[in-house]
Amino acid sequence: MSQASPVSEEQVSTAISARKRRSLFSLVVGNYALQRIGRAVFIIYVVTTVTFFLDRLMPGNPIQVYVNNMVAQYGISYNRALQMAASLFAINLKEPMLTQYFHYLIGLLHGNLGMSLLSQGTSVSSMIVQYLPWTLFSVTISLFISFVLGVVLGMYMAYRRETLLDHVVSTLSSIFHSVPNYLTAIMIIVIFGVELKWFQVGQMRGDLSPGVAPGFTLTFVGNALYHAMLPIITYVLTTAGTWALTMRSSTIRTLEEDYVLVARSRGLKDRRIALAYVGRNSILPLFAQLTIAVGFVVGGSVLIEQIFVYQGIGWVLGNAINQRDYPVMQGVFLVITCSVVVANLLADLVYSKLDPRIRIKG
Amino acid sequence: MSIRSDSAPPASVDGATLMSVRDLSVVYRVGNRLVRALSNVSFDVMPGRALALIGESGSGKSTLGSALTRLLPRTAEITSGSITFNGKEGRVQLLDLSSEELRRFRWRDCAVVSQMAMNAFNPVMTIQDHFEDTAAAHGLRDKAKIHDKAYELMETVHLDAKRVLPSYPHQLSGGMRQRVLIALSLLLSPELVILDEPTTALDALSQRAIIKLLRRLRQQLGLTMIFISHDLSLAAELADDVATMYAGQIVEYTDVFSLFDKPKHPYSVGLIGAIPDLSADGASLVSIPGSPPDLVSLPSGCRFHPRCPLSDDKCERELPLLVETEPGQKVACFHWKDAQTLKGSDAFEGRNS
Ligand SMILES: Nc1ncnc2c1ncn2[C@@H]1O[C@H](COP(=O)(O)OP(=O)(O)OP(=O)(O)O)[C@@H](O)[C@H]1O
Ligand SMILES: [Mg+2]
Repeated sequence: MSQASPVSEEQVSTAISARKRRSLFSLVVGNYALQRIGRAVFIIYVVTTVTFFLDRLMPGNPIQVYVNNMVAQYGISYNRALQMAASLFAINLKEPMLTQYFHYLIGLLHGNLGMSLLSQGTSVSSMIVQYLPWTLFSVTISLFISFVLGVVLGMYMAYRRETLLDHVVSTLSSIFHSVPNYLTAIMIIVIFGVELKWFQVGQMRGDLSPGVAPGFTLTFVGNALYHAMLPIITYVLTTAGTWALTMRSSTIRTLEEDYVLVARSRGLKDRRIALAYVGRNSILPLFAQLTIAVGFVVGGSVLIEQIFVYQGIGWVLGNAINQRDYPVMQGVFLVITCSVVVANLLADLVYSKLDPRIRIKG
Repeated sequence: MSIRSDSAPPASVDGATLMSVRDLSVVYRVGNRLVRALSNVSFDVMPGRALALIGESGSGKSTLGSALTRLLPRTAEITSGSITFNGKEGRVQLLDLSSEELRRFRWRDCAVVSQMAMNAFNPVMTIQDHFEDTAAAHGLRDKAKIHDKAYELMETVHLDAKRVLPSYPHQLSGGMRQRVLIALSLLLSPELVILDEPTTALDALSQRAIIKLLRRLRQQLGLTMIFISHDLSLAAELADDVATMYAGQIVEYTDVFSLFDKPKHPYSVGLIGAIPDLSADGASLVSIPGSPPDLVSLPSGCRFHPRCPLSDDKCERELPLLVETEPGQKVACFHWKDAQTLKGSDAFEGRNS
């Protein structure tokens, strides 16, 4: 917002009363939140459809994968394995794809995600209920830590430009940003786990140590954190720097703003200016990126959870992909899409609460 | 253009100044070059009077305005001089203040209404918040009292307080923001208000309204003002005294009547001749030939000599000092007695508009 056109006060008040007189229709269409929710539902539908067909376009199908495994692992004859597979999997892959698709959609509308092809008698929804919380837990904590860390570091770097810390964080950030996060994960295991032996990689696998029961106890939360630690460290290492760099440039831009200088001329304390004027405005563009980051971290969890054997939804997805367990793949993709879309929605709503210029536009 | 008859009484005889600036020099460092934005500037601001700083773009007016509250950018450096503020709280040397003392001084003793009122407000805070924030910074936390004061100031600047105070900056027009900033500048009843081109970003109509408002405030509150402008006709309407700046120096300092009646510096003569005079319809509009010097490599002697019709050898060699010609009138020109002859002549290229 820079050049305000010289609008007369009359014009402004006319515009305001006109806004009050809006019809119900335009209220719904013009309502920011409703618009966003409508769009979110549409996105979820499209992604569901696309993943449905893409899954089935992957080379090989669950029966083939199973048969190949049986033949390779146990030396069973090909025909015997095929028979076993056919009786094992209660699916009819001969059905036309469109029919399968409509069955799937109808199931979805009833909240039925289908059954896993490989884990007999396990519904996809029960798997999601079992594994999703672990991923939500680790991903939410990681995002929170790296966002806060990035914001604080970034502001500090902007205020202390060209100091040692600024250079160090900048360099590290670019390194961690360009190295794929699974490499970082592997390096953590190799360097700190295997070489330096700072921790027992084996012990940290899984979601909980044996014997720890879920519940609101300190032992449980502590143990859950212990097992989630390596994924969290990996996510934070790979994303905090990016936040810091974004915040740094955003802060530097804000520091140039006239209202910061005017705030100083008003005799405001430096602390107040840094928080309410510089920080508050610099953080706004980061919310737009938060939505991208959610997708990035959730997507990244597939490999990270495999590497650390952290049994969350990404780990489930990895296994399902290897075995072409279509219903599980679809279910997990659906969940990932939903969580990204919901995160998007939340970030947008928070953003519109934080920036009055958006809030008023409505 | 009209010259008013309602100006403040002339400077008090005992010479109690509100602010006196002595020998102030400011440079900007750009790469390894020095931009000499202000050179040995000295002047006094008398309580209750309005001083206009006029001059072409780049003559150092804003630099001077910022230096007075020490809000220069990092690249700037005050290389010499002193600024003495002689307010209710006693005499302070601005260049000796600690940053905390300086912070308290700003806005409470001297408020700056800057060139950039358009973006002077934090976009995520309401106008009311800005008033509270400013008050809190100076130790006033009684919200009800601040609200009342803000309300009253809004009335003073002719804004609908009920509507404007809860608004966000982007909901206000440029003219409204300018008024709000003026109201905000009065919140702590500062003894000095510096207005840096408070009207340049506005259309002609809002500009008139702001000028009217400022004149009214002067009469009602007896404000002491420094009014920065390149528009001489605005200065004529608002100011009691005028300091004409050229290339980082004050070349003439006088009361507004004498300036228009008998300008003593050839540059002032040129500036006055360059005002599109609406009363003398179609009369010749004069412009000063040439352009202001590069502040990185200044000409020898008088900085105006390359453009001056009166310049001679001495002007090329020697820098004229600002000397008093009559009480309250100063000029930096060897030939000030002859400056009158330039008036209306075509020494500065006359151009028919
Ligand atoms: N931040 C800066 N860095 C370097 N040089 C600067 C800076 N600010 C101003 N200057 C230079 O200092 C000189 C005086 O600038 P200043 O802004 O004080 O002029 P002004 O009289 O206010 O002009 P205007 O009427 O355009 O506002 C100009 O030559 C300008 O180029
Ligand atoms: Mg200026």
